[in-house]
Amino acid sequence: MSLRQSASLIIFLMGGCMILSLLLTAYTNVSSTDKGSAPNATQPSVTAPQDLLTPGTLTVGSDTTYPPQEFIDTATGQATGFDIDLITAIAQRMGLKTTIVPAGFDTIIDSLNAKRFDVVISAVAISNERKQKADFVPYFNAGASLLVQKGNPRHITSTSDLCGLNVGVQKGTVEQDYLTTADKACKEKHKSAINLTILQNQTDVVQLLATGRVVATYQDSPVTDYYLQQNAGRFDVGGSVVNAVAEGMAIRKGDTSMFNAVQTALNQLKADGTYRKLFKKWGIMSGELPLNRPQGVTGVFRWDIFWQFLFSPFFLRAAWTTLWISVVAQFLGVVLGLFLALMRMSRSPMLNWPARAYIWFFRGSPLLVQVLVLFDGLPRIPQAFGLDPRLWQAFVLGPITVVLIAFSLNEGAYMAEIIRAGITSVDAGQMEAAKSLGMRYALAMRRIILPQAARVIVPPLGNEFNNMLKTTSIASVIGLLELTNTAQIFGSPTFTTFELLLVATLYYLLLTTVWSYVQAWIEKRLDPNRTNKLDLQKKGWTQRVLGFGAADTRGAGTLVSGH
Amino acid sequence: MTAVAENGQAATQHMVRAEQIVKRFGSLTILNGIDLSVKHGQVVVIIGPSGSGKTTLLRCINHLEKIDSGRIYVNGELVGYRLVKGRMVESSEADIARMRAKIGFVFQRFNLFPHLTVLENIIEAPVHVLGQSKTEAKEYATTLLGKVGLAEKAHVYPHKLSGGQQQRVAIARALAMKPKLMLFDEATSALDPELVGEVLKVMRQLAEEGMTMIVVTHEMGFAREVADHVIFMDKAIIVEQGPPEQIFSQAQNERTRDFLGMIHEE
Ligand SMILES: Nc1ncnc2c1ncn2[C@@H]1O[C@H](COP(=O)(O)OP(=O)(O)OP(=O)(O)O)[C@@H](O)[C@H]1O
Ligand SMILES: [Mg+2]
Repeated sequence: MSLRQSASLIIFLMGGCMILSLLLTAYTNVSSTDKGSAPNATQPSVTAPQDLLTPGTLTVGSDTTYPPQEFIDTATGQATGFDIDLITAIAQRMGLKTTIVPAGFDTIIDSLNAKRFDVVISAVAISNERKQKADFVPYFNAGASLLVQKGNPRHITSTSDLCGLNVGVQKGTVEQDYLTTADKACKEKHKSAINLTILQNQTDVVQLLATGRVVATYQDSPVTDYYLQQNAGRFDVGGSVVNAVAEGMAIRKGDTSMFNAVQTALNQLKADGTYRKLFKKWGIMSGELPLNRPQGVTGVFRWDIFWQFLFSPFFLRAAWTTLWISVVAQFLGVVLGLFLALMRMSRSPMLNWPARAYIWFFRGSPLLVQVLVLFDGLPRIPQAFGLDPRLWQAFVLGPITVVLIAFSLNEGAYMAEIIRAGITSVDAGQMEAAKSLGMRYALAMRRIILPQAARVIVPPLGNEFNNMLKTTSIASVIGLLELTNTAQIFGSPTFTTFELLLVATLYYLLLTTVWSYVQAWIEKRLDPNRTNKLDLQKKGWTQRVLGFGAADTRGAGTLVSGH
Repeated sequence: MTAVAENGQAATQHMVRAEQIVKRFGSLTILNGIDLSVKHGQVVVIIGPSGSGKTTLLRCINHLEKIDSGRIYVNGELVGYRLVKGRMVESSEADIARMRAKIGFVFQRFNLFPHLTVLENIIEAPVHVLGQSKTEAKEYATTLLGKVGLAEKAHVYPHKLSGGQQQRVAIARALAMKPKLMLFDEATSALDPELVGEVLKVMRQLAEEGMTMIVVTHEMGFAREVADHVIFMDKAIIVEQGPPEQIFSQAQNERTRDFLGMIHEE
């Protein structure tokens, strides 16, 4: 490749990046759940904080898999729960609307500091460690308690009874820390270790208990109470509430106007009784059952849930998200792969080596890690390098942006090798013939080499896209509402994750099946035998119009003239 | 076939002029100081044993290979390089392509584009390199196809054609660029014996029309009848050259005689 070609390559890549970023800005906000509740009857009574991410809106981060405090209402698809109601009421006092952004609990404070949201309400227990990272407005007193099987057959009354047993806990919670401490104590007493199962969602943890995989789960006491009530006769509390600490709304350190506004609004809500009302509504510490929908853990396959969600807008939207992300990422991957393949095949080490290094890196490291690095790691760069704080926000990419970038970059590495194999499969004489006719490299590639390489490229490309459709499930780790995550989020409040994962599977199968037909059609079009058919038609035409040659001279007939 | 007057400047008088070409592949010297001149309208035939460097010489003439030293002029223009303060610097890709567009090259293995029909093969470069309109290019392509006797094959894909037909299409494809010089590299040696004649016939016709041609071939009959000048190459050098009568009947060099003897025994 000459310098001129590399220059046009760079321009093309930059163009690609621009298109990408345009797409991204258009879609960045898709995943957030807009509560849309305008401040109605209540007049704003608190001065709204400055520097909101979106003016007029309080952007709230919450891990919505934690009933009763925050979870997705399966009927509306909106976030709901005690915490959600509380923060909505607080926002109303400030004259703001509320937007709930789903977030993973274990990285929620980091995401707050990366300015993905203005404030966090997510049953975050205030600990010394967490106080280093953010300021907290306490709003709730909760301890930890154990949920066990009905009748407590193992006689579990405290974490010291758990040595050698299977126990479930949610990732990143204080209970996880308590259990680690208890585990150490077990070892010191020369007892067997606690066998911990740590999952992302609290509901999945309780599901472990329901299916008997664990004998106890450890979580905040209101959560224990809630599950106890929702599944009457199945579970019991093991022992009493311990380590009662306050849960707090997290606010970025130094964001005093936010801190004051939240604190003032909360005080008002407590004073006028709204706070107590919410307590009652959600059945916390009152023993009332707040919800009339069936919520219990059952061993029966919930066909009603299955049918309810099969054609629900939530899954249709999720399928669409899965599809368009796959298409865009695959397209960008192919474009990137083409340039990488050309660079990789160039004799110039300046082009060759970067391409090799790129392919080596992206094929050699897990996509999941690449996604997490972009999502959680990138926002730390400007802090680490002491860049101007005004630039920080530029490093905070939304989930869709992250997924599209990571998937395209990763796919580019795989496509590079596929396209390279395709180009190599074309006889070297083709490029020489093209050059001898005065074609330049780019023209010869586009008109002569790539159309022939396509036949070799398309079958593996089809497999790549099939994979891509399913690989999008990785996006669930950063909260994107694609098929898998939708199944988990909507399934968790009603313990029907299994039913909804089945729904998601049907959608995956639908997408991959349709694609397999499209792929077969494309491959047929590139099939050299098809040109025979074309020949036949054209030959037939000349035969009819010009009237020479019998119908089957084609196979045998070689010499027409020349002697 | 008109011999051009012997006077005038070397560069303008000769269609091709090569001075002391040296080409190496690693430690192997493939061309070791080749001098060559081909006048306008002349047909030069190059013969020689396998591996003597014939193909490499043709490929150097349209810069499919870089040369290590020496100079090649085609139509008075330096091929593949330009002189910058007396030093040879490789030309830009665009300049090389422009130069190649004026030189037709016919390959031993045809190298037709299999994904394009015969007509599309022929108009591809005129449309995309010379910028001709499709109608214009098609019209000329049809004329050329008639000339090589394949008018009715315009819409056929190459793999449906015999070797001889494919090679004639390849010649038409090269001619569509209206080249000033045609290079043939063993255009008939991949063909079944009964198909050789149809290709040679086209080449002979082209020679009669006054095309300047450099032909590498093992067809001694063709060389004897059509060539103005025959060059015998062996082991990277030109061993002997002269008019066909002289080379074929009274070769001076023993290597030439041996080679011709071997060919005739076949
Ligand atoms: N790209 C290359 N790299 C290394 N060696 C090469 C290359 N191309 C040709 N050669 C060598 O150069 C020598 C001359 O090759 P060339 O093809 O020019 O011979 P030729 O006279 O055309 O022979 P033939 O009659 O077999 O076609 C051969 O020994 C060949 O192996
Ligand atoms: Mg050869």
